[in-house]
Amino acid sequence: MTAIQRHAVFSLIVIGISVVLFALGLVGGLATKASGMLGLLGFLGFAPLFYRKRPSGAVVVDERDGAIILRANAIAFSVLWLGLVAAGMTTYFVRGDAGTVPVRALPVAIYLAWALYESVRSITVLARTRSEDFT
Amino acid sequence: MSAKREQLSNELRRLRFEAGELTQQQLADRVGVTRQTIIAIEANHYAPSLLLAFRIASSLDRKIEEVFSYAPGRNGRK
Repeated sequence: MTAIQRHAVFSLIVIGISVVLFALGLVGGLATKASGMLGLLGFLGFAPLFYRKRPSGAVVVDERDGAIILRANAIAFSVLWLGLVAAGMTTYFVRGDAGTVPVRALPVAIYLAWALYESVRSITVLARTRSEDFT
Repeated sequence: MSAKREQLSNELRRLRFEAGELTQQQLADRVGVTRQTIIAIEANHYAPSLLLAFRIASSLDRKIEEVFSYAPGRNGRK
């Protein structure tokens, strides 16, 4: 398994746990505390550890990995943008022109947007590297 | 009817064995890539950069055209 694959698996595990705990909190009626569960996404900040230089001097990321990451980022950005537009439109139609949303919704929206971006990026990386069909 | 796609093929696997039965990992270490990239190149699933292609040929003491061959597509690019 290469560094980008390990990073992708790590990200999906962290996001999975965070989102499941968040959803369980929402179901339990603890909206404010549930959003705190998304703070676990902070563990994604440890990702650079996967790209440390190996003591053996082995290559960590090469040109093919770079090309895969580039494409994964492009796909993830497209999905993120579509998601943001859809979220904006939905809020507008549900709450109306003069509607309001709770302040706590803002950090939750940012966390979920980041989780969406990172999960799409990770899935794309795993799909691309697994198929080994990238030209 | 589908157009024939341009293709880049290679003799990497054969040349590795002719060069003292080099493993994929050994070749990868020599040219500075991961083993997965060598696997993908051998399977014609990844077209390496020109620089990497030259590095691979050089590490096997071959000319680049002995390692890689190019077949133009029927339509579009030649």
